[in-house]
Amino acid sequence: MSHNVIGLQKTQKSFIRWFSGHLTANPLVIGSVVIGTLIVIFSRLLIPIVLGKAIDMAIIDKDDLLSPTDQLSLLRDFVLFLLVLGVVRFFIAVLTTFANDWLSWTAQKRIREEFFNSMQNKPLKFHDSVRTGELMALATNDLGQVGGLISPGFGMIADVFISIIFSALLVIGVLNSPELLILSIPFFIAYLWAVFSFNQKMAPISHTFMRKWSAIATAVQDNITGAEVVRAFAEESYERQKFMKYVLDFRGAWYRQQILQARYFPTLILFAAIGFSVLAGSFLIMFDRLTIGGLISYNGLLISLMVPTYVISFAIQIFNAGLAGARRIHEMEVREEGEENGQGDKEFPGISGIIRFKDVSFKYPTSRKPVLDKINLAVAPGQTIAIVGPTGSGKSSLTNLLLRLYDYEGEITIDGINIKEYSLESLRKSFGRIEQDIYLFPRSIRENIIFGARNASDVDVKQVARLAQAHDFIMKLPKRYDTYVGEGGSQLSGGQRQRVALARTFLTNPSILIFDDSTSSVDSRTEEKIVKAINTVIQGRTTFVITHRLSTIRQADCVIVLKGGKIVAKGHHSKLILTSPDYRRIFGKNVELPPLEVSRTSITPTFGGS
Amino acid sequence: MSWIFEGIDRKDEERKYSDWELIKRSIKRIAPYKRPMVISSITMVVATFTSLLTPLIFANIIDTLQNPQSTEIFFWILLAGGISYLFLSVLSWVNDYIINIQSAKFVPDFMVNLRGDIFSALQEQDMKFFDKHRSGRLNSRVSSDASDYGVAVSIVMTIVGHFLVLIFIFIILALINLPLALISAMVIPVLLVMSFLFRKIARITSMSFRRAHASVNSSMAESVNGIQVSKSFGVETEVLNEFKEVNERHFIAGFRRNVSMGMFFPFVDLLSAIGTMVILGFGGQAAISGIGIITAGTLYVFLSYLARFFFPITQLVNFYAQLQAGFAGYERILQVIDAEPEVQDLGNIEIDQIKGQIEFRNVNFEYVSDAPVLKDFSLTVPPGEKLAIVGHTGAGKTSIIALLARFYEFQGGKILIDEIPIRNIKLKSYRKHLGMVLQTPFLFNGTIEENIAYGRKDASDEDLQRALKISRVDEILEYLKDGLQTQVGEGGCLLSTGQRQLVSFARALLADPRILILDEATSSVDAYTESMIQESLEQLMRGRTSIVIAHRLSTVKNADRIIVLDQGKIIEEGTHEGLLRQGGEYANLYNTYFKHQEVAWVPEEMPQQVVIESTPPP
Ligand SMILES: Nc1ncnc2c1ncn2[C@@H]1O[C@H](COP(=O)(O)OP(=O)(O)OP(=O)(O)O)[C@@H](O)[C@H]1O
Ligand SMILES: Nc1ncnc2c1ncn2[C@@H]1O[C@H](COP(=O)(O)OP(=O)(O)OP(=O)(O)O)[C@@H](O)[C@H]1O
Ligand SMILES: [Mg+2]
Ligand SMILES: [Mg+2]
Repeated sequence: MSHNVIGLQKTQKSFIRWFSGHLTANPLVIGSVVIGTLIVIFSRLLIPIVLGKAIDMAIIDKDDLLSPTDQLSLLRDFVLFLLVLGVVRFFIAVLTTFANDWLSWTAQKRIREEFFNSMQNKPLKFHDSVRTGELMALATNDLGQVGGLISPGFGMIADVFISIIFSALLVIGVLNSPELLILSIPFFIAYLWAVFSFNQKMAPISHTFMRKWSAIATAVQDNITGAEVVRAFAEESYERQKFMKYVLDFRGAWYRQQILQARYFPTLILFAAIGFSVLAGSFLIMFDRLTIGGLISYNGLLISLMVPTYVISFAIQIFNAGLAGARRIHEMEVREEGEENGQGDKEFPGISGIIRFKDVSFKYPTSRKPVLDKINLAVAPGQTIAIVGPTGSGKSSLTNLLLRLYDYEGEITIDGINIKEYSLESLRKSFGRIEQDIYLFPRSIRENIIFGARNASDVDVKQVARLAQAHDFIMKLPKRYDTYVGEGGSQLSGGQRQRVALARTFLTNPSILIFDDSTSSVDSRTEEKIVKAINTVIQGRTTFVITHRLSTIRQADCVIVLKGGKIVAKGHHSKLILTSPDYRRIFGKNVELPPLEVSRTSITPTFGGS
Repeated sequence: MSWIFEGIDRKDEERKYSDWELIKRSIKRIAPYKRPMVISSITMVVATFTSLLTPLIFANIIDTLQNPQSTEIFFWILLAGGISYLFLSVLSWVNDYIINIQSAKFVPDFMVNLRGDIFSALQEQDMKFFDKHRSGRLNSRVSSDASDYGVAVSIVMTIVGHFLVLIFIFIILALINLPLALISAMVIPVLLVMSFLFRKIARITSMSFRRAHASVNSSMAESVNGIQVSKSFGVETEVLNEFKEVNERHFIAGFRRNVSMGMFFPFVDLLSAIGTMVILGFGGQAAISGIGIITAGTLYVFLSYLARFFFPITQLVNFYAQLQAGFAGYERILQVIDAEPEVQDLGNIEIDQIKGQIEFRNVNFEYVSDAPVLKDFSLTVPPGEKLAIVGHTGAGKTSIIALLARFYEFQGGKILIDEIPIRNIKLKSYRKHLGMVLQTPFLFNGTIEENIAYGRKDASDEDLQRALKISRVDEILEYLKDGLQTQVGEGGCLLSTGQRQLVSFARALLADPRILILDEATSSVDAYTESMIQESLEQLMRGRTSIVIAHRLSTVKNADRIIVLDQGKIIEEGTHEGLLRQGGEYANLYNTYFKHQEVAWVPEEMPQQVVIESTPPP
């Protein structure tokens, strides 16, 4: 429990430091905004005073000091002064608006960039657990609220405070009736309490409000990305029902906020104070304890508090929304440590030695048993190693670890050096992996191919496309290399997608290649061509191939068979086919296999590095 | 101010709406909320009277106090005056309360309906629509565009009040001094002209901001969805740099919008300062030289009312700008709501039972114009047949079933289901008979069970178990912590690819369809599991029409009929044996495939590599 509290305080502290750091990033501009705001507010308060003076001195001229012509010229001076005041205020107000908006929007820009960068650097474990829609909402809606806190929020709050302090001072200074002052103390206390409690109630509502808002964004995102499935199963009305649940939920939060806004008691207290002051004041006058003028000015001052009191409610709302948004963004940013903290600073020199897994174990946060259990493996440079095994046996996970996409137990070394000592970027740039579920970015084919090597020339792009057997089909598309592939590549066929991904990886010229089931969506003829191409590409590179296809497996220098997180067999195909029942199982029932040599099935599950 | 418009691109293909149209449609949307509107407008009138009445009572009290008498009646008069003042003050709060409550009833509900409508419109769209619009951008229409519009609409309730106040104060000003009142009223046309100019700025800058906002949304989605790719390539820096550009555009658009909308207030302030100045000048001159009947007192009262006169004007004009900003959002919303899907659910034939006969008759189809995918395509699948489609990648196999599922509209020819033209059948009643495993398996965030039951939520436990068994999902459940209740993550990312395929397979089976479509349903599953699935599927498929697409030809061998597709045309058809005997494309594909899968096969181009012993010396 106490530990928890300390943790909370710590995040609270780090939040305050983070947020104030962002708010005060431009002290000069902030300074000018403050000064500008003050000038604008005071010049507004000046107007009635100047008007009064003008009427007193130039128009009424009680003591008859001036001739009518002098009166007129004095009036002209006053008018001119008002005009100058108005124009000066106009320019200062314009500049202040400008500066304040600039402050707000640069802060948004900066925080958004930081947020984006932070999300990019989060480990995959983090991305497995967050929703796209939520991150989108944070980057737009929540951040927008933070911007609102800066402009117009701060100006509003300053305005309110100055007006209220000003009026309060005037009340105390002008009023010469101790009775009235004492009578208004309870109102004053109640007023402060009401403002305070309004703020208290608003804070959690703002947070809920924002959370529900992002739930809507998430629901929509889910629905749109799954549009095909929704249609295939004709579940549109179910989807709508599901969506309406979120929307109604959001309405609930909104409704509560509006009700809170409606039951805004500070104005009630102020109204009551005004009414009561008139009632009590008139009796005080009757008993000669107060002058009529005193009551009038007291009444006037209370009434002038009306507008700021209204504004407070909005200011509080904006303030809390901004704070809640900032808090949510910060929470997300610190939720999981970024990857950059776990990396070394060595540049990966390109492969020269043996890749070795030493007792590597791995588990996803959600898995029951270890996905990989004490894996030992050694791969010599230039070797091709095939990884086979039933669905879910951990083949893809194994390659994830090589790229350090997830954290693991044990050690992976390349040429004797732990890969954790290398910088992530240099390590990953030396690997070329074609993932199992191809993701293409919603851009053109060319932009997708050059994703890992942005400076590549057109010639290179075409060359790798040819190598990946993609060039021919690309040339048949209406816009060729400029064809837009759709979200995730949905406007290409499955096999086309796979080949573009192959080209994308080939272009980076990696020293270690990983093919994760890279020919699963192509026909056998195309596959044959691709395999030939792959065979030329992998010359001299260490290669991992995950596949179910015998043609590829056969060419590997070594095959490892994964099952239940363990390596259950290892060796060349020609050996395994005779000895390992687990390996034989991979080929299903449609392949005729030579008889199992029962005598030689003694395989050691662990291997290497003894 | 031309910089405000700089770099603002109007997308031509976006439909544009005139103000008038937007207003008309907004009124239609607001119409159901007559009650809260009327109540709050009436309350506004009461509030206006209250606020005008209180100073009168106050003045009365003051007058009474000026010549105090110590009679009892005087006491009562004072008490009555004081209490009614107090009462009216509190009434002002009650008015506010009522108005706020009405808006609490109106705005959130209004938004629920609006969002519901946009969402429903999205559900009616076909896949072509989603090809055109990125999810992140669409998302922003449901979320933030709707919010912006909602803000604008919520202000509508206050305009009636402001109008009333404006009129009353003008009457008061006119009663005090008509000529001066008329002079003050001269600001109104100036403000009108200004707000008219402003309208355009507000609309255009808001529109470009809304667009930039959508871009941020979709960049965010794109980068998150592709995070694994970015990481694998180690290009986070480059991706960040790209995002910086989008972010910069958003910054410029947002800053521009806020500045241009924020400039309005200083303008109005300046105008009101000039107004005050003019009145002071004119009135003062008249008072000093004794022309007219203006006294200093009148002038003072007049000037103090004048300040109140400007407030509602500012609010009204500001409302107009806000409305324009909201209209920018509404315009984008309407673009979705009004988008005509090509696949229209106009059919009125409900089919409860189907036999499952499918016929393509001279169908022409293209995704984009001038790139035909199917040309004059004809195919008949009798009920209960198990048809396999094979062919090169990109031949159009997936496209055929996309047409069958009505994801896209075809351009020529006919598709008939049980001899009824597919366009005449009610979509929902038809799709209920389909069970599909799509080439890219997508799972919804949720548990495995929720996903499997997606197409038939009332399925019995028995059916569920059977689907699990046939699809072999029961086996993978052993690996997973929470069994059927395991969360699959967004899009199914917490499962391995093969597992995802199996789950989506189970989902299609549980739907108990008359027509079963398997598009590369087991391509990522190991061959053993695949062959097990096939065996158990045999029985289930009996009596159902099924279409199987697979590159692994072992999967299609047992089909009743195999068609070979090439560039959208059927080039061969027959049974496995028949086609092999024919020695055409199929035989070619099959031999290549089978040759490779044969244990004894040795590739011609075995790379000459030194086979390094995989266990290096210690
Ligand atoms: N991101 C993840 N979070 C949690 N569990 C995961 C995640 N990815 C995979 N798993 C689980 O880990 C196990 C191994 O998955 P992996 O993707 O490595 O299998 P695979 O051997 O590649 O299978 P396939 O042949 O289907 O691709 C599976 O049980 C899977 O459910
Ligand atoms: N949504 C789309 N928009 C535009 N073009 C598309 C779209 N989907 C597919 N295509 C194009 O239509 C052609 C046929 O694609 P289809 O997906 O039907 O091929 P396929 O036979 O299923 O191939 P594969 O075996 O690789 O899955 C391809 O050239 C592809 O690029
Ligand atoms: Mg895998
Ligand atoms: Mg396909």
